[in-house]
Amino acid sequence: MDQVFKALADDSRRALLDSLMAQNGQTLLELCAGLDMSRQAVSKHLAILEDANLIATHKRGREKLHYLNPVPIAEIADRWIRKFERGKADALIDLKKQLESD
Amino acid sequence: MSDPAFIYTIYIRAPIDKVWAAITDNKTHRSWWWGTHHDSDFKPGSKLTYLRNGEADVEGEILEADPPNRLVHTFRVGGPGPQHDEGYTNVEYTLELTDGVTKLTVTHTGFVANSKLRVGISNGWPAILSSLKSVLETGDPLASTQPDEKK
Repeated sequence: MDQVFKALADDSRRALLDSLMAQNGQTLLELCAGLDMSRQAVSKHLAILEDANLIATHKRGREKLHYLNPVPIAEIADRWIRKFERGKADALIDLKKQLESD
Repeated sequence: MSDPAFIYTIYIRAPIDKVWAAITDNKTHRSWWWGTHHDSDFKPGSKLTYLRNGEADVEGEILEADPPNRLVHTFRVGGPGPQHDEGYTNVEYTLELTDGVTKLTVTHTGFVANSKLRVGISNGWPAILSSLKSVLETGDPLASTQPDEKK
């Protein structure tokens, strides 16, 4: 769990996960295109995310596709959110989104 | 085969045979999967049904089974309804033993454009897999995947 928090504690890495959330299964090149980071930096961040199991990869010929793997985040949520609190937490998040979008 | 829509991976501190046995369990109601009973002999060509309270949550057919490393089956939400109308998708499990830990990967492919099923399963798999890990490592499933309360 330490590794997951460390991996998430970086703006650039969260931006990479956001990019995969918007479009799953991107190549390194595609991920670089959307972000103001060097290819080397993106590559390094992806390795850290993969080590933390927040990214899963799939080989397509010579290309490597990157997928957001939210399973470790589900484990964190389950540790501190009980079944019947989940609905309330979701309702509060929805309310926040609604108020902030007005 | 098309590129996967999702790939989920989890590392479970349990022997690979035990993880395989949990995935192909057809005897118990799965505490880590909202109490569903998976009715199949998990042999290629056989039917597979996820039963919840006696009703078919999901129907499919086993395409490949290579114990304890690989299981592939088709997956269609039980009908009637919009997700049922989307037809069959494919679920693939791969299990690998690395450093005494079992790496379980689930890939789900074959969604239609703007799939409602796709949205639903993206919430389901992470909860199911983290609960499977919890059951195998500690004996207890996570609260979020326990069977619905009796009304």
